[in-house]
Amino acid sequence: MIAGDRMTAGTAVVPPAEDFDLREFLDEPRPVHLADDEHADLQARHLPPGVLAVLEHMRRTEHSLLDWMRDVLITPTQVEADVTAFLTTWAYEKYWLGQTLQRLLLAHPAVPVPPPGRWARISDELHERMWPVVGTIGTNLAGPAVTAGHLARALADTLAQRVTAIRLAQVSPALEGLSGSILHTTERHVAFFQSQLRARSRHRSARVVIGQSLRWWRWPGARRGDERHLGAALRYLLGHPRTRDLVARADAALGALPGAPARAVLRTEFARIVVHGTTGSQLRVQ
Amino acid sequence: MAFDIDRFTRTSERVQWADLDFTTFADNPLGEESLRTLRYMCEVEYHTVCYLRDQLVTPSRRSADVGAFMTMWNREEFWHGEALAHVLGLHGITVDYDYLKAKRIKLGWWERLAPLRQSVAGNLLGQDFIAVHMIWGAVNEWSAAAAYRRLGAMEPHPGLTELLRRIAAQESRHVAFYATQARSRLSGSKKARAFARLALQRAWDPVGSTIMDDDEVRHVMAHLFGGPDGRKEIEAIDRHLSRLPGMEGLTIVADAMDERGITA
Repeated sequence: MIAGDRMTAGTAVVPPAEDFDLREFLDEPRPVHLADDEHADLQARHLPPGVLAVLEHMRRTEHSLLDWMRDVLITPTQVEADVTAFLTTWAYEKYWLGQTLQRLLLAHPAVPVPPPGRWARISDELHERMWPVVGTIGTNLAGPAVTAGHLARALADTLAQRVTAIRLAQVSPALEGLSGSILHTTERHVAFFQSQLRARSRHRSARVVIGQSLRWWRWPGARRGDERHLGAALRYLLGHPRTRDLVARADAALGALPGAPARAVLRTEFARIVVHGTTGSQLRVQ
Repeated sequence: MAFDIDRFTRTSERVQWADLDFTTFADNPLGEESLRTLRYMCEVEYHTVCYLRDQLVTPSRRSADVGAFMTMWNREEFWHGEALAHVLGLHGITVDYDYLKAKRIKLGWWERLAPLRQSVAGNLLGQDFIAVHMIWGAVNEWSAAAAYRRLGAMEPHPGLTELLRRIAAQESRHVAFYATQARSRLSGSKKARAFARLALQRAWDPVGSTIMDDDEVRHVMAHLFGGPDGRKEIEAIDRHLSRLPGMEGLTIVADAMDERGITA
C-alpha cells in the first residue's frame, strides 16, 4: 500500500459514521507497518527534533497499552465478550504501531525525555499497587455502566491520536505514509467505540458515566507523569491555528455523545497541558 | 536456548481453518463425548482474556518480553476459541459472545476478585512473581498441547485432526516461551523457586477448573487422559516440569488426575 492510498482512507478526524462490523475487524486486522524502503526514506530525511518528540510520546503511549488493558479488564467490562473480542485485535494493532514507532525512532537521535518528578513517581507507584485492589472492588460494585466510561475515554483517546496523526503529516510531509496508516487503522476503532456508546447510552447510568469520564479525561499519556514532555510535544505539534478546526471536530463528536459535558473535552485538556502547564518547551511551533 | 520474542511476534497469526474440509461432519458428526470436550476447550480458550487480566495486575506486565508475548498469546488463544466454536457450530452448538457474557456473569464475585488476589501476591513477591507466572503458564500450555494432541489422535476426522494439530503447534510455541522464561527466572532466585513450588503444589488445578463445573473437568480429564495412553501424556508433563529449577520430583498433574479418580 502506498502512502497516498492510506491518506485517502481517512484524513478526517472523525471518520464518516458507519455500522461497525466486528467480524470483519477480527478477520482483517490492520497492524501499522512501514515497508523497509519507507523506513530507509524516513531515516535519510533527518526528522526535526519536534517531530521526533511527538513520535517518542506516541511510542510511549502505545507501549503503555497493557496498562490501559489492565485498568479496563479488572472492571465489569471483562464480562462483555464482544468488547474483549475487540480489545484482542485492537491490542494487536496497537502493539504493531508501537513497534513501528520504535523502529523509526531507533534510526534517529535519541529524544531526551525528562524523568518524572517525585510526586509523579509516587502517584504512579500507588496507582500500580492500589488500583487493582480499589478498582476491582469499586467498579464491580458500581456495575456494568462503567464500560460506557471506558468506551468514551477510549473514543477521546483515539480522536486525539487522529488529530496528532493528521498534524504530523501536515508538519512533516515525509510522515504522510505513517499518518495515513494510523488513520486507516483507527477509523474502525472510532466506529466501534461510537457504535457501542450509541447502544449503551440508552441507559441513564451509562450517560452519567460518559459525562464523568469525559470531564476527567486526560490526553493519552498525560497520567504517566511525563506531562512536561507531553506539553512540549503538544505545543510543537498542535500550537498552530490550523489545529483548532481539527480539535473542534473531535470535540463536536464527543459533545454529541449522550451525557457528554458541555465543555470542549480536547480543547480544555490541551489548554490545561500546554497553556497552563509547565512545558519547558524549546521546540519551534510550525 | 533463548526464545526469540521478536520472531514470535512477527510470525504470530490467527489459526486458520477455512482450507479444512469439515463437510463430512454432516454424515459423520463427532460423538457426544468429544463435543463435550471440545466445548470445554472452546470456553477455556475464550476465557484467556480473563487469565490475561489476572496477569496484568502483576509485575509481569512491565516486562517488555512478557508484555509482547501476552499480547500475541491472548490473540492466538482467542482464535483457538473461534475455531472450536466453528466446529461446534457445525454440530448445532452455539458458543457466541452473548453466551460467553452470560457465562462470565455467572462465575460471580470470586472470579471477579481474582485480579485483587493476584495483585496482592504480585505486590508481595515483586519481580519473583513473574517466575511463578511463567512456570504456571508452562504447565498449563503443556497440558493444553497434550489435550489437543490426544483429541486429535482419538477423533480420526482429517479436518478436525489438522485443526487440532495447528492449535497444538501454537500451544507448543507458548510452552517454549513460558518454559524458557521460567528456567531463567527460577535459576536466579531461591525465593522464586520456593514460592513457585509451593504455589504449584497447593494451588494448581487442571486448566479450566476455575471456570467450569467439576463434572465437566472430570469428564474432559477422563476422556482425554484416562487409560494408559492418556497417562503417558500426564507423566510426560510432570517430567517436563520436574526438569525446571527447584521443581524436582513434582507430580502435580498426575496428582490432580488421581484426586479425580482418573486412572491409567
